[in-house]
Amino acid sequence: MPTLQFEQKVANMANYVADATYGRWIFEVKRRLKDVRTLRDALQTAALVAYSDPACESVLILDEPCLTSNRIWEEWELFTRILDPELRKRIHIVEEIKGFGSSEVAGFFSDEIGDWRQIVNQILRHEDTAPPPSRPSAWSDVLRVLMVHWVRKDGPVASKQLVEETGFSYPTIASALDRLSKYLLRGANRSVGLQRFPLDEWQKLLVNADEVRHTRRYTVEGRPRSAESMVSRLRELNASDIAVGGILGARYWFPGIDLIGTPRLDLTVNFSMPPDRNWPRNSTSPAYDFIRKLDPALRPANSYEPAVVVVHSLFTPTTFFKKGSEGTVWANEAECLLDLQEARLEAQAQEFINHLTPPS
Amino acid sequence: MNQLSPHKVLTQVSQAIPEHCRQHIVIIGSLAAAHTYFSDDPGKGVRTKDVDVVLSPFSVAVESGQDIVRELIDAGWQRRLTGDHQEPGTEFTPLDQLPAVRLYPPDIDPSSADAWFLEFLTVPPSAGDTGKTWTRLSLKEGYFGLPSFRFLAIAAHNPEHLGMLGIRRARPEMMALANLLEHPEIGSATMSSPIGGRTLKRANKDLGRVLAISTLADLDDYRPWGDLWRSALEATFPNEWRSLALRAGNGLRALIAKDTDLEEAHHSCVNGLLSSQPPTLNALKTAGQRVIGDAIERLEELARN
Repeated sequence: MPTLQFEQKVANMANYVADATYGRWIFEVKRRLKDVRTLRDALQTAALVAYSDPACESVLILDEPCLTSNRIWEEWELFTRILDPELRKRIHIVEEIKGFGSSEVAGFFSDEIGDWRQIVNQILRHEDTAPPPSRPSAWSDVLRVLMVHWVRKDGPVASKQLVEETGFSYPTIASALDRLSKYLLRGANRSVGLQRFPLDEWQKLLVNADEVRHTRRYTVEGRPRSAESMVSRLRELNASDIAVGGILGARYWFPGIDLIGTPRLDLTVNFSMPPDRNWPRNSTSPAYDFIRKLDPALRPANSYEPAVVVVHSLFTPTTFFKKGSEGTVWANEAECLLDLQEARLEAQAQEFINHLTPPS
Repeated sequence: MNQLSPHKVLTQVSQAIPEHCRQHIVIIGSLAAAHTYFSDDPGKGVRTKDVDVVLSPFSVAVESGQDIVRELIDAGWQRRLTGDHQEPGTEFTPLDQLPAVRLYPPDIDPSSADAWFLEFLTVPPSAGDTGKTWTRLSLKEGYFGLPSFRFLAIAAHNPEHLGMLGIRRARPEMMALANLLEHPEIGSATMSSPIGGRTLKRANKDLGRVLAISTLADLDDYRPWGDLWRSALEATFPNEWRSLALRAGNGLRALIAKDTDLEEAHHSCVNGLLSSQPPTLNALKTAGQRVIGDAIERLEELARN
């Protein structure tokens, strides 16, 4: 019975280290593969591995590729035109979508390997020991917290409160406040608040919003489920750390907003709280379990596909989420505004800002 | 093969069957599913040759079967003469060598491309029967057989009464469950007749039917199917419903995971139930993922608790 071994050198392949081997099976993992060129490189490596030893089987695991299965299949078909048929038989491609499991794209496994899905899972779990997502800069968190206080007309807040709400130290917060100084209103006891909409800084935040919020987009083939039905399912999970933002959230904070329809569902997940469901805390791929409960057919979208569900991460200990009377947890105003702007609903975002911001 | 209008066919069947027997038949299969989802739309049809008629309950299957078949033959319905066992048997003919009852309507040329026929089946006599069984049906022409499959009782569970037509129609979600139970894995057995010019694995064709039904149902939430499936399983197989429930999704999961099998299922759908509105392969996969994530996982959860 072969054993699974990680980071193994492969004979006849100078300087190449396979992610894992299992007997004569050699595995290479590619995570979130984004473009065709990288896919072609990966296919070439897989072919070279197979070529290096006529007894081996080369397996390429595509973990959450941003390319669609069809696109991957098309590239594979193209690639195989230059392959010897014998070589082709020994190259396998597996697509792994978290929460949905593994599926064979090409080169089907023989019974010899046994439960190949379990082996793929073990390999990916091993790879999951990668560092957890790092918190974004303190500046962006402090800015958003101050925005919420401002639109809620809380007045200046004490530094100690900012420490508690953002989870950053005094010096870190002080540094962030320096950057925002021209928009700040300073009160007694080192309290601080916004005195006007911080346009420049907000634009900078918006430019980096995907990275700051670890935004992930999901799509579905065929007819998507309505955002309302997915929110209804989210309510059933009774999760206090997943909030509805975007168009629905904006409509909650400002029912009169000029928005018709809900083309996508924006959610904000708070990662500073202990999760109350079984999802991988250390994964760079948050919250797949609940995504699947919204619609089992959702899958990560590539950059060309319209998103049906968009998930943003929040890392502050205080989320300013609000639970509505019907049980929905709503994302705070700052997140909703970012969602609208990110969705390029510029007019509605401006209307939202005008409604929220106190008259000067 | 032409498209059949489900409403026209069921109306013709109902009118041809003696009134006192109508309550004892349940229409199953693609025509029943098509009648559920687009009987009101004259522009939509279904490609099928056989219209499956299940005699239920088993206690009246023989008596009703005799009355119905007699009336149909006397009205000019024509026997379909194909396969190994064409001639009526005797009282001594082994059950599995009796011809099934398959009848073309009187106004149809059996050699034409759009010919369709009725095929008579019955629910199994007990929950303990496994596999295919036969029940002897005596007519003046000789002896025939009524085939039965283990999970036909699920397909015919709690059927819908079709008002003025007087007959009953299987619920699509129950037909879906019957197909899931029939194929806990993708077996190698193939269909006896080609579909759309290709010989397909039976499992891919039947599990493709599950995907077709899910596509036509187009629900935002398939979890209620899980609850209905549990009730049907518990009522039909009280002693083993949990184990059946826990394996019901295995075949569909395997189908979704293997593109070659999924492609066969897609071919079967676009040449059958979904011929009026053919989906893409990926859209069919979406339907399967939703049934698995919603209905099957719900059923499994109920079976574990």
